[in-house]
Amino acid sequence: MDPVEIILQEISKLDLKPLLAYLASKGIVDFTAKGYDKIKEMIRVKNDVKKYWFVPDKQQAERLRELGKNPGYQTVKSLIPEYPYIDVIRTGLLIKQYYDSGDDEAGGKIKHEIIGRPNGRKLISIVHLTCSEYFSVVINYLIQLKTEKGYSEKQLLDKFDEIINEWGETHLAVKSTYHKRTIMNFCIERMKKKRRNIFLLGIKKAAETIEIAIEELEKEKKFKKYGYEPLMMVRKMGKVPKVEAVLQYRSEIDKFMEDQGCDE
Amino acid sequence: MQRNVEFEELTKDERILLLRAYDYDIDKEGYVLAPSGNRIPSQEEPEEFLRVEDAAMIPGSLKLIDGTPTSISRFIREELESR
Repeated sequence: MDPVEIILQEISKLDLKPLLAYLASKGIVDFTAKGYDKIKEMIRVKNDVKKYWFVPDKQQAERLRELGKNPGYQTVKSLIPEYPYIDVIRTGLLIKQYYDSGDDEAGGKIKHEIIGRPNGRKLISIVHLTCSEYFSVVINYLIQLKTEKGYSEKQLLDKFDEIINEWGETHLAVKSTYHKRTIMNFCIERMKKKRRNIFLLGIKKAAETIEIAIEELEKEKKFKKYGYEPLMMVRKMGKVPKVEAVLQYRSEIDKFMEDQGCDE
Repeated sequence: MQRNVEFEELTKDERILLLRAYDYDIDKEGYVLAPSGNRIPSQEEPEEFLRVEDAAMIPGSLKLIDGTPTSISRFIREELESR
């Protein structure tokens, strides 16, 4: 029997992956030999079934598929469906999974690759936000802007972009040892620089300190002076109090638009 | 509704075979060559080119994309989740 026919008979029973493994094990590296165009055609026919996506890392691809169900990712996708970096958010969640499971090498490798891309600085800010405890704070803030202030998709997209662009210097994870003055100074410094959104996050005693610091800033009329509006979200993590605070800059145009009830 | 596809890995030799079945090839440095003979630029890093080990190979008429998490996420979203 013709050797090509023997090969064809063997591979006709196989799925694409074992078929390729079989051919490789037989030392077949291309289709230049006489009659091998039939083998080539067989590969194409099997691939047309569209069963497999061949990827460099199968487990990683499975994780990415699962992360499509992540509530944070889903919320961003529904709030700002046109966000151009939505896939970087999913990548950030993957990196977080690696770090959380102690696989710093895998997480670091992806981050390194992202930093090297054009626009890498912005992309890595998205990753840092997604990997941090602030991701849910920012999402809650966007939800609040949509439900309470009627922000449109475009306004939410601009707001999220604004948050990302300033991310490196606009958030403070308040520790229980922090004095209220530390928090106040952090806020005042950023308000002076007109950072558009300032984020504070603390639990237990730190949550109380944030509330006190914001009350003090209010008393000292700092928000009015610099044109900010504090939005406080008090939550519970089990029985533990948690405070998420956002100081939002309100430019004259923002105030005017809100007074007019404009969406854009 | 999600389409049912399986993610799989191939050895380098198996990858090359699949590529050659679609008239792609690889050069001596391990970069994938399109049927035209040109290296295929990465979509994420335009100054880089796709290497045989790093590419993801999507069935049908064999589409090659960067095998990075971001690129695979985009393809999952566009091809599997949006239908």
